[in-house]
Amino acid sequence: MRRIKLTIILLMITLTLLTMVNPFLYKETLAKVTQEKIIDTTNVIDKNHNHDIVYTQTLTLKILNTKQSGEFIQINNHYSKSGAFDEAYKRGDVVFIHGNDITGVKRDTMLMAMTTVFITLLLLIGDKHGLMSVISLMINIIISLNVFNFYLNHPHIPLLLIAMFSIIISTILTLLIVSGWNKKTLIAIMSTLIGTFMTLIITLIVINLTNGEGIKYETMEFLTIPPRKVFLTAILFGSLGAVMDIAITISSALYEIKLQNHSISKKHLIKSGFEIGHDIMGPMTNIIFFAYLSGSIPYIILYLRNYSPIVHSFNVHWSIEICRAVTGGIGIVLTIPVTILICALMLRGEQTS
Amino acid sequence: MKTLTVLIIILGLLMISIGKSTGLKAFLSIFVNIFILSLAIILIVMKLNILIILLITATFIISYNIFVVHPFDNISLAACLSTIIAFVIMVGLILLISNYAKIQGFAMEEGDEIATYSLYIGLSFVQITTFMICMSVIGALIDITISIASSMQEIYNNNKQLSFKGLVQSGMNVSKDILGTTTNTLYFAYLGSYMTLIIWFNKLNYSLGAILNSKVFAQEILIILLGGIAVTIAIPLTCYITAWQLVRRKV
Repeated sequence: MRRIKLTIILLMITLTLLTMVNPFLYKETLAKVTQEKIIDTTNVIDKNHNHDIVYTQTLTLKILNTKQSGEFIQINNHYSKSGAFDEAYKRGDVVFIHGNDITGVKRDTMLMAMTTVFITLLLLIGDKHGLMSVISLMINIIISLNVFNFYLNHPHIPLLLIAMFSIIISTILTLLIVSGWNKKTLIAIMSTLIGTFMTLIITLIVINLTNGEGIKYETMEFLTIPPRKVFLTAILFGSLGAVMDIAITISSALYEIKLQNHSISKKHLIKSGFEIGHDIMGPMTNIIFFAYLSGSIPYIILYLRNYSPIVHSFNVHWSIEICRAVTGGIGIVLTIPVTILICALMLRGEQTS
Repeated sequence: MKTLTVLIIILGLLMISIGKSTGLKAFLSIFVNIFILSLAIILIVMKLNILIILLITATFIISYNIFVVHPFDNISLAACLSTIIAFVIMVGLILLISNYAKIQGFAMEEGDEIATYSLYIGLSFVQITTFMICMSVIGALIDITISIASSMQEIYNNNKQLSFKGLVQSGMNVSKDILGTTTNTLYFAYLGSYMTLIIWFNKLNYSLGAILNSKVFAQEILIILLGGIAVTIAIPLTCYITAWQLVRRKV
C-alpha cells in the first residue's frame, strides 16, 4: 500500500513538473513575462460613483514556442485594481499571446500542482479510502463528460434517458468502489436509485402541474442547448453524491446494529434508522445549498454595486440555484425512508436463512 | 402557484414528517443560512473588509448550524474551532494560488452576462472569489467536523482510559470512512453545477489545451480541489482539537 501511494505521489509531481516545460506541445504562442513596468495610473469613477484605479503596464515577453521562439516582444496591458475581468501580470507569468494581445494565462501547472496537493493529502489522511475516493471521482468525471458527448452525437435520444442510464452506472461503480461488494452496498445502490428516480418523478409532476412557472431557466450559465433539458440532469447528478452518502450511512449503520443484535425486531430497526436519518438530513441539505448558492456570489455583488435593486439581483441569480438545491434536498430526504424500508426488508431475510 | 413554492412546500413536509422536530429545525436552518449569506453579501457591497466579513460570517454559520443539532459543549466548540482554522488555512492557500492562476472575477465566456455592467466597482475580486470558494465548502466542513467530533466523544465515553494519542488515532480511523463519502457528496454537487460548462466546451469545439488553461474551467476545478483539500485538512485538525478538549477536561 505504501509503495502504491508513493508511486502515485511521485507520478503526480513528475506530471506537474512536466507542465512547466511543455510549451512545445501547444499550437498557440506562449510567452513568459520577463519585465513589467507600470507606465500609467488613472483614477476612474464609473456611472455609479464607484472609485477604482486602472493601471497600464508595459510587459516585455520572451516567446517560448513556435518559430519565433526566443524572440522578445513588448505588450501594453490594462488592468483594474478590482480585477473583475482583467489581470495584472508579474515577472515569471506564462501567457498565451495572439498577435499583440494577451489572450489568456497558462494555468495547467497550477491545476496539476493543486491536484497533486489534493491527492497527496487524501492518500496521507484517508489511506486506502482516500485512494478509492480519488478513483471514484475520476470515474464520475469521465462518465459525466461522456453523457454530454454521447447526447451531442445522438441528439435524437432524450438527454434524460442518457442521464438515467449514466446515473445507474455511476451509482453502482461509486458505491462498489467506496464500500466494497457486500449486502450494505447492494442496499445502498437500490435505495440511491429508487430515491433518485422518485425525486425525478416528483419534480417532473410538479413542473408539469405548475407549467414551470417562475423557474428562470435562462439564468443558468453557459447554455448552448435548451435549458429545460439540462436542468433536471444537472439536479439529479448534483444531488447523487449526497443521496449515496445518506444511503450508505444508514444501510451500514443498520447492518451493524443487526449484526450486534440478531434478534432485533423490525420495528426497532426502523426506529434506529429514523434516528440516524434525523441527524444527517440537515447537514446534507446544507452541503448542497452552500455549494449551489455560492457560485453566483460574484455576480450578485457586481449587480448590487451597479445599483440593481436588491431583490432583483438576488432573484435573478439565486432562484434557479435554490430550485436546484430544494430538488436535491427532496432527493436527500426521500432517500432516508427508502433506505430504511429496504434495510428492513432485506436484513429480515438474512435472519430466516 | 410557482414551481419553486411547491417544491419548497414538498421539501418542508418531507423534512417534518420524516425528521419530526429535528426535521423542522433543519428545514428552518436552510432559510437562516440563506439569510446570513445574503446579509454577508450586502455587507461586502457596502465596502466592509471582505476577509473580516468572511471570518465573521463563517463563525456565525458554523456555530449556528452546529448548535442547532448539537448542544453547546466541548465537542461543538472543538468542531467550531477546527472549521475556523481550516478556513484560515484555505484563505491563505486561495490568496496564494490566485496570484499565479489568476482565477478571480469573471471569465471570457461569461462576458455576455456582465456586458451591460460597470466592472470597475472598487472591490477586490480576488477577495470576492476567496469568499465564494470558502462559502461553497462551508456546509461540507460543518458536516465532517461535527460527525468526527461526536464519534470521538462516543469513543471516549465508552473508554475513558484512552490517552490523547489513542484518541487521535481512533478519531483518524473513524474519519477515513467519513472522508470518502463527504468528498463524494461535494464532488457531485460541484459536478452538477459545471455540467452546462461541459456542453459549452463540447459545442464550441474547444481544444484540450484551451479547456485546461481557460479561466472558467480552472475556476471550477480549483473550487472542487480546494473544497476537497479543506475537508481533508479539517480531519486531523478536528481529531487533535477534540482529543485535546476531551483529555483536558479530565485533568
